[in-house]
Amino acid sequence: MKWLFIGITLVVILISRLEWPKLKQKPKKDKAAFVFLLMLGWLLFLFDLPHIAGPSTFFRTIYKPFVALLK
Amino acid sequence: MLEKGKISSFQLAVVMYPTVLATGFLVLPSISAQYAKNDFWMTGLFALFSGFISVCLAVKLHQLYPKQNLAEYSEQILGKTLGKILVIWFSVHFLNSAGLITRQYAEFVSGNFLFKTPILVIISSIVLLAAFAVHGGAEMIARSAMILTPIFILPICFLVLLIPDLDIKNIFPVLSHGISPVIKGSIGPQAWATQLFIMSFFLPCLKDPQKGKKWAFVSLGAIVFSMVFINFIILLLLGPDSGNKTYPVLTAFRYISFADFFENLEALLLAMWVAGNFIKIAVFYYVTTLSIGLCLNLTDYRPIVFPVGLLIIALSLWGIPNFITLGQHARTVAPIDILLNMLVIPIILLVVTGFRRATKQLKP
Repeated sequence: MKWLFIGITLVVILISRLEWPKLKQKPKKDKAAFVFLLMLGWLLFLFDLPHIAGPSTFFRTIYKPFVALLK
Repeated sequence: MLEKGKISSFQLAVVMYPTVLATGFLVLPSISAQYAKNDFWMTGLFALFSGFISVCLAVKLHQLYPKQNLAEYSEQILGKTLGKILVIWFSVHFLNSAGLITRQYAEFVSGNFLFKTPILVIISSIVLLAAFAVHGGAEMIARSAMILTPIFILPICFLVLLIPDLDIKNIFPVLSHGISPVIKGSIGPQAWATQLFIMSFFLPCLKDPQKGKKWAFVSLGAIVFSMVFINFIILLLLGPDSGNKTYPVLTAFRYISFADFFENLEALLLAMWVAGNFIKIAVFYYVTTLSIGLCLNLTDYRPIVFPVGLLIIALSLWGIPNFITLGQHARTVAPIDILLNMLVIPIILLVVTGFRRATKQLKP
């Protein structure tokens, strides 16, 4: 897990290094969106992702009544 | 509009074929065989129906709101707040779908061929490749599909080599349990066929929009034909055992032994399916990026391509501890999820538009 997070951190640094020069002349909103999405992705890898509840768990819960109909 | 590239309607058809079938070939035969038993070859025919509806919906909505994609016209139809919520919902749906597709592909590769490779390596390499395609825009995806889709279709031709091993007795008795197991089994193929609605993101960048409908139907026809053909071959080869196989098409390919020369074709199958899955992942990745870009009112979607890729990698792992959970998700939850988002919500959008236009005409 530790190595995965270090690897992802390196990837995040690489992505921001590559994209930032192109983003410089773009409006503030674009920069904010870029930073927000990148940080979101980076922070997600802090968790033990496969073993915590995520969007697919959420969909499994809300579609439960429909799934029961299929059986 | 965020996308400036231009594609032709023939390219649209070529893109949509692997978009539906890349994971379709992996999971659909066994999903439908579990419900419909020896009648599962019919399930593909039901897909024709729902695929037809979703193509009509996409084309109709595009006619009413020309040069706009799903994310743009849903704001116009439902109003600012509700439209925004719907776009966020669609972004989450596409992001989650992209993650699940990537995971399905990675589980297939790591479970059958690259046993010792960590799954993260497989996931991140295909997402990186798809990221470059998405960076190039719709045109890049369309052109790579022009090259890769023929390679993806090729394995179907190899299945003809199995004809000497087929046993026609396996399809009898036809419909011995009535039609309802077949309808239940067809929910998977129907859901996958409604993914054709994703073409609403490509319709605005068509060079020849008037031909879009025709080529989408050609693509749908090819998809349904391939589904029925593959199901037929698997049924006649494996018989009642088809539902127990994780990847029946792969099993069928392992079975091919023709003239002592065409053997161990599964490696070839993998090489070809990587091509198809690449297109599927790239299309979903592109659609996700575009809808997130529209949702946040960005001027260009290109800068957020790599961050979104990171999110797709996260979502391909998030909440899915093992293959069993993924298989259950693909069998039960995914069809309902796709049908809701790609069929029910577009129908609601169309009804609301019709209602709005009708009330506008009534007012003097």
